[in-house]
Amino acid sequence: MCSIPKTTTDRTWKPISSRVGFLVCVGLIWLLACRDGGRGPTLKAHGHSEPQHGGILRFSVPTGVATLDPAVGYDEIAFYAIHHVHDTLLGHGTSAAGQGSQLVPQLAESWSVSPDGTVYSFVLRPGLRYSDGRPCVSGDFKYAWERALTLPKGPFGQYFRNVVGATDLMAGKASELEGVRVFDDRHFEVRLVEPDSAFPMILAMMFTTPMSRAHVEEVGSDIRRKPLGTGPFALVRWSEGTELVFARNPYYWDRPLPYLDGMVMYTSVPRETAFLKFEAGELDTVARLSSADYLWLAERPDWQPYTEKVLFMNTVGVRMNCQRPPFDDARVRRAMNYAINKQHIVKLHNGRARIASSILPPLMFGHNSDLLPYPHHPERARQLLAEAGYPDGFAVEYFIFQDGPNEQIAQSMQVDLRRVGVDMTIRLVSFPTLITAIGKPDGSRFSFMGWSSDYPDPTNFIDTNFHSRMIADEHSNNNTFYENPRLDRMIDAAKRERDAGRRERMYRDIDQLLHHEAPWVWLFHLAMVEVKQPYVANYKPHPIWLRDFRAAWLDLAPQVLRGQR
Amino acid sequence: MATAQFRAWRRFCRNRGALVGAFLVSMVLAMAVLAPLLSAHDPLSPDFDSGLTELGAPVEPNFEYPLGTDRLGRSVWSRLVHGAEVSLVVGFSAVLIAVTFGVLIGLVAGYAGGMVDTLLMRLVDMVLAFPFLLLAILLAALLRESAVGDGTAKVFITLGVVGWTTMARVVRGKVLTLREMDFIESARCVGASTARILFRHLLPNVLGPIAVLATLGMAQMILAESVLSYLSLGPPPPTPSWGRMLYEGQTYYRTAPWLIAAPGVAILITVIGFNLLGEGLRDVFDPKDHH
Amino acid sequence: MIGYLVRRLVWSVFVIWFVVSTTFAMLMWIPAEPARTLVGPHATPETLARVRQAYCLDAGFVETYGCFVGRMVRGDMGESFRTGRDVAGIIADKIWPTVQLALAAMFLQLAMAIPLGLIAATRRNRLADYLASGTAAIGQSAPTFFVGLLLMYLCGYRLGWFPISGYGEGFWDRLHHLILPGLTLAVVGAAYYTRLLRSEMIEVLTTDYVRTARAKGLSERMVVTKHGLRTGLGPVVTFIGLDLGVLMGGAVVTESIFAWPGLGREVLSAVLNIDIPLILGVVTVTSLAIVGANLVTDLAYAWLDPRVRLSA
Repeated sequence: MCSIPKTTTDRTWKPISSRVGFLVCVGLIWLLACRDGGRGPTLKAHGHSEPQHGGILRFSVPTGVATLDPAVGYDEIAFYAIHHVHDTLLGHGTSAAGQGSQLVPQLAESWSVSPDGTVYSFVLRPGLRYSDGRPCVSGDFKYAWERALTLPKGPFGQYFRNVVGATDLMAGKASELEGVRVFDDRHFEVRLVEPDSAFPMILAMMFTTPMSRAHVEEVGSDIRRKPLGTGPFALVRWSEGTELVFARNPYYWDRPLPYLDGMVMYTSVPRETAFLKFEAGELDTVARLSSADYLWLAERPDWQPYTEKVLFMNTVGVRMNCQRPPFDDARVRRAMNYAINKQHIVKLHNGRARIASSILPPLMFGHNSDLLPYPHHPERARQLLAEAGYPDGFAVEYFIFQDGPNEQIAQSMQVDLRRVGVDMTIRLVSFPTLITAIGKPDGSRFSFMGWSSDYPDPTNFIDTNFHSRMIADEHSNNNTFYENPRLDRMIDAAKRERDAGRRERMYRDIDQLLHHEAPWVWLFHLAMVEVKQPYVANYKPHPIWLRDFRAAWLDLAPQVLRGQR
Repeated sequence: MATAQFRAWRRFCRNRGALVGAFLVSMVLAMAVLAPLLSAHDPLSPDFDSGLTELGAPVEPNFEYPLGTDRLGRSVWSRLVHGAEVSLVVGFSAVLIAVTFGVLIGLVAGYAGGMVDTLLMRLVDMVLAFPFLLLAILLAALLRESAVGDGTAKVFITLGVVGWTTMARVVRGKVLTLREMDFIESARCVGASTARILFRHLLPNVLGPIAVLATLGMAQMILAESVLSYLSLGPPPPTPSWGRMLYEGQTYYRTAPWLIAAPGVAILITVIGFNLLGEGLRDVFDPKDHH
Repeated sequence: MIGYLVRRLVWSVFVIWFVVSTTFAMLMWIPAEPARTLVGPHATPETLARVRQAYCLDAGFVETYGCFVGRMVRGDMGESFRTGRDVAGIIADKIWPTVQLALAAMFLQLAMAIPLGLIAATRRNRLADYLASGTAAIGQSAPTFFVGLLLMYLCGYRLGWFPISGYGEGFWDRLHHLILPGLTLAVVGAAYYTRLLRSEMIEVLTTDYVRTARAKGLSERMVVTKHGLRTGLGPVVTFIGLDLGVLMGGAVVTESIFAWPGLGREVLSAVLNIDIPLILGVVTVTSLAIVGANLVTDLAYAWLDPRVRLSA
């Protein structure tokens, strides 16, 4: 029988392959075990004292952008793009004190209110143009507003309810918005049904931006990707799923802004990846760091000077259905506030949150700074529960939607509640299901709730959420179904009040009442942390829009700026 | 019969892969059963004091926490050890459902033949028209929204309902060959009812392939559950599912890599174990001469 | 042959219809309000009512079915609830990246499996075999997301050899971005093929004609490559066609980790947002692809083996 001859390669293969294998294993272990030092800020600022023109600023967002149509886009990410392309009559500028915001005229050169508070008159700046050069006139505002109110998919109609003729227009009984009267290209007025001190705030919302009828009719349904606005930038290109590219609007009214030649917004970049890209110098700013990245950053003092922390206008809590037991008893609701350890929750956010005492965030007009948050007091909680008739506690399902920090908080709460006898199970659902469940009176009794302002006025926080007229059978805006005639009267009075000082006191009282009545478990206000490269100058996170680059500039050598085109 | 079994057992003991697989599987089983004894800490209790740093970072492996802690200050070792039970329970339940469906349909299709067979196999085709994972994700996501049932149950029901097709095909194939054999013929002549033939005569002879597929199925289901958990579609928090541990810990790959390594390796070892065991069983019941 | 083709085609259409209808039924059964995806959490009940009417969500089951599924038959897949962009456009955009990923994965699978399988088969029961088979066993059992995270961290971040994530622009840049996600997807398949190739090769290498070739004095290498490999690859090639389903499933996770703008990631976000038109659209397209692939494979078999045709 033939024997199979061994070739020479056979004999040397075995030792080679085993040596290679051994080296590979060692290499892997070394790579995994050695801690990596991370990259500190590598690119330095050039040191210019005056703002430099030029350069492209790159940033990213974790999800996709749904639409750039200001009458439709409702989420934060869409706003990042929309507010760079569109300006409004009034805008939110950083307040003199450096914290919070104040209303400043944007497209409006000046405005005035009639003595009875129902008529607002506006004078537009002269020579306003869209980014393609065509003029922007008063009629464009009226057209845009009528469009926003009548678009089937438009969610913003409710904010204009107080404008004369709006309800008729939305119901299809009128063909124009009667309350808006255009006198000429630069002068027009808006008439309200009732005085409302918060109305100017609404005029800073994105959906009120003027739009050119000719342009909208020309692009038709493509308006979601072909915006035309009066803002500092214009959209040049949108590769859906990848990036949006903006270029400087040469016709922008607020000369010499913007300093940047353009911006690139990368979409659908996961947060962790964004942070890595930022470290590698591929992004100029990064925000909404994950817990892990924030901790990583905290250990690297190099980055401290370029880290900004802004407590922005939001409140996060646990909403309770005040019409269903056991939460129909205010003592039970207060017991929940005592039972949950909020320090732990702040620790879960690595200190990037401030414990809330009531509904209004600290920088909001009307926030009652004398209120102390409910302390962590399990005994008191048990006592209240016993008083209310639940000495053995009760069982409840906690609804949350899929989101890392939410899930962590839920698990911490679960342990806190178990200690006082409440058996809480976590029900993880998608966002649409959550919203549906909390809007129904027989839906979820106990769920995560967060509110960030549409505009920085207390009515936006309080009216929509706690006034009894906002209760509906389905999709109720007042999803705690909290009904308190006294609160209703206080809210209505505050809305009508024209004197700022008195108005503030009224809101402080409301804040205190809500603290005590506790329709929510008041958890925290979230701070946003943003890190920028050393050469990004004149940039701080905006209290409302968060990322606003209109006044930012890149402190780089001139040839680098030119080379970025 | 006795010698055949003895021979099978000997084949099993000689098969190195099968032995390694059996060893790994028994390790994981032991971990699951002995979990309360193996860990000092409660896998569900956060420890905000010694389990997290000042800023809230997970703690490195140390004496108190041999594998460190996770984002909530819970012992990773403890969660790992208790997670074994979750994986095994979900895997086993899913396989049970898949086997029940698959065997029933396979038996009926193979034995009945004709129209029934065609119809049932068409049903198999329809389920197979969809990638297993995509279908599982779709079903799990939709089930998650509804109020019906316990979170963990939803997971293994999803996997079972989606994964029975291979079993059905294999059982049907085997039944087709067995159907024409003498002992079935004689059973029919004697007047045995269909059910009796199916369950007393056919079923025992298909046990071999069933065992193989069930074991391999365990591996597949555990893997699938870990993917679902990674997408947050698995057993709800705070269940210490390994896939979920990876989901919660993945962002800490630089500051706390043990959060990824531990559950990842655990899944790997368990799945390898079942795969090796399954293949070993396949060699045992259907030996191909490899040596 | 024609009869067989027609039968299979009719059946394929039925399968696709069944899959889409079942998906639709499941979507209708869940308690979420899809209109919320359209207008967001701050909208009022009036807005929601108006939107429900405009988007055909107000009617009974049959009417809604006709609205969504019926119009798909006419070729209109509607608009995504989340973005308002037309579903056909979204799918057309996302399908090419996923196809690229699938092709890269298939290529890498074979590129890894063939050498490993060969080594394992020819050095059977020696160290090289154990290493190769062992690696294959590990690869087959590793969860895709674990491999992905590992690769991203090691090769992307620590070593910096490959980009951490993203799609890339231009031919070479795209290839550069394709490697890590492609490898991640390829691992499981490569492991599977390695073992398959190994067992096939081992069988072949002991057959008579290979023995004859050796006896004739041909070098080992020639024997292995010329005779053994050609035969051993047969079954491997068969499975490539049916691999599509597995790849699509794995793509969901891989695309999420590497921010790859493909259909897998799109499906995931559509499902989590309950974006009904998009889910239906993707389900239709995916089942079309898979049923189509199956049909082609079956037809190939039928053409080659007449017995199959007659029994089907």
